Amino acid sequence: MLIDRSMRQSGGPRSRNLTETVSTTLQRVAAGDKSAVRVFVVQYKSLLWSLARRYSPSRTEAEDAVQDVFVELWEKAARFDPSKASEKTFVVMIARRRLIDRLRKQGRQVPTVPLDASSEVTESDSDKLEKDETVRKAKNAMRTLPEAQQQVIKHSICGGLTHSQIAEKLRIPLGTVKTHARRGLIKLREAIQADTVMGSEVSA
Amino acid sequence: MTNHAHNHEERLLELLAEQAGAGLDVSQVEELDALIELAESGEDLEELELAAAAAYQVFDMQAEIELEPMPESLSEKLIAVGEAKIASKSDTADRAPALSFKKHQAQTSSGLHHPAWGWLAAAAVLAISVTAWLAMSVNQTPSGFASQRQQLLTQADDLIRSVWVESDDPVYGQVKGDVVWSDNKQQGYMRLVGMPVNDPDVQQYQLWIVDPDVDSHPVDGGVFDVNEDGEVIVPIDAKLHVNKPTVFAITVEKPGGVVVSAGPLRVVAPVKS
Repeated sequence: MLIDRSMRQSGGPRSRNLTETVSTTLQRVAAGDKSAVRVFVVQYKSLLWSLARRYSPSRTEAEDAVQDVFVELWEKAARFDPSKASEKTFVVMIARRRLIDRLRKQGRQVPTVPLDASSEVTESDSDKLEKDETVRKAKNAMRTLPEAQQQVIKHSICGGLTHSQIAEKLRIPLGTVKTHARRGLIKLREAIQADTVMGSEVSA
Repeated sequence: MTNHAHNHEERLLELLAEQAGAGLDVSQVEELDALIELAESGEDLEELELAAAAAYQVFDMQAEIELEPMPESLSEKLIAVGEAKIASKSDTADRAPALSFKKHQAQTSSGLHHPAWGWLAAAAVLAISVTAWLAMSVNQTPSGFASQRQQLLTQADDLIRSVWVESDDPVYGQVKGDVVWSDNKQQGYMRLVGMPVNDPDVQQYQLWIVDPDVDSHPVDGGVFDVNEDGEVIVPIDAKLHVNKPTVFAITVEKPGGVVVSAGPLRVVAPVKS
C-alpha cells in the first residue's frame, strides 16, 4: 500500500534536538514504556474520538475507525520525529490518513467542514493554537499565502473537496487549482521546517 | 533535470498535494505509487501530510471540541490493545532471555511472569499437563465446526463478534476473519482466513482470552493447528469461565502449547464495547 511504502522510504530522523531530551508520550510508547499507553490514550482520546465520529457515518463505525487509528499509532509510534512537527500534529496526520483511507475504501466522500465558520482564526482560538508550535507556524505561514492559495488549501484540506470540485466551485481552471494546492502546501511545509535550528523549535 | 523528469516531479507534487487534502481515488493512488517508486520521495509525502495536518488544525477548530465522551469501555480496550502491542514488540526484542526465563517459571510457578512480557507474559491460570493438551486439528471436521458456529450465531442472544486487526507483521498481518463468543453458552469459534499452515511437530497456535473480570492474566483459549489454506473454523477451548472478554489474541508456541506465553501476539481481535 502506498502509505506503508512511503513510510518505509522516508529517511531517518533528522538532527536530534533539545525537545528530545524530554521524551514525548509517543516516544515513550515507541521505547516500550507500557505505562505511556494509558497516558497517551487519555491525552488524545477526545480529539481522536471527535475526528472518528466526524469521519464515520455511524457511532459503530466510529468505534471501528478509532481502533484502527490507535493501532496505526502504536505501529507508527517510532516514526514520530519531534524535529519535523509536534506530537499532536503527527497524531492528527495519522488519524486523517487512516480515516480518509477508510472512507475511500467505502466509496464515501470526505466530510466537509463549514468553512465560513472555521476559516477565520479568532483571537481566542489563537491562544489555544499558540500552544502548539507547529500549528502556530502553519497559521503564520497561511497568512502570507496569496488569497487564492488560501482558498484552495481550505477547500482541499478542510472542505474535503477534490481539485476538480474546487475548480468548479471557485470557477478557476483545474490546472490553477493544482498549482495553488501544490505551492501552498509546499510553503506550509517549508514554514514548519524553517524555524527549526538544529532540530529545536525557535519562536518567531 | 530533463523535461521528462521535471514533468514527473510536477505530477508527483500535484498528487501529493491532493493526497494531503481530500485524498485520492484508486487510479490516482496507483499513479502516485508508481511515481514515488521513481522519485523515492516518501519523505515529501509525509512532510506534506504533516503540513496538511497542521493546516487542518488551523482551520478546523471544531476538531478540538468533544462532541461526546469516548465510552470508557472503548478507552480501556484501546489501552489493552496498545499494551499488548508493546508487550509483543518488547518480547520480540528480548526474545532469547525471555524464553529461558519462561522455561524456569513454567517449572516453578504458573503465576509468575517476566516483566518484559507485559500482560500476555502471564501464567495460564490452570496447571495443564502436556497430556491434557488436545490440539484441535481444524480440518478434521471443518463442516462440523462451521455448522456449530452457524448454530451459535443463530441461537446465542448474547453473541459478541470481533474481527482480527491488520498489522505490519509480514506473516500474520493480513489474516482476516473474526471471533464469535457467547458468555452464556461459554462457547465460541475463531474464523481465520489466510492463517499460515503450521507443522504441529514444530509449533502450534494458542489462543489467549483477556477477561479482566476473571483474572488480570489472559485465559488460555486452547491450542490448535491450521493444516489447510483458505478459511478455517476453530472452536475456542477456554480453560476458565469467561465473562466479558475484551481481547482475543493468538500466539505461536511449541507443540502442546505453554503455561506461560512469551508471545509475541501474532493476531489480535479487540472486542467492541
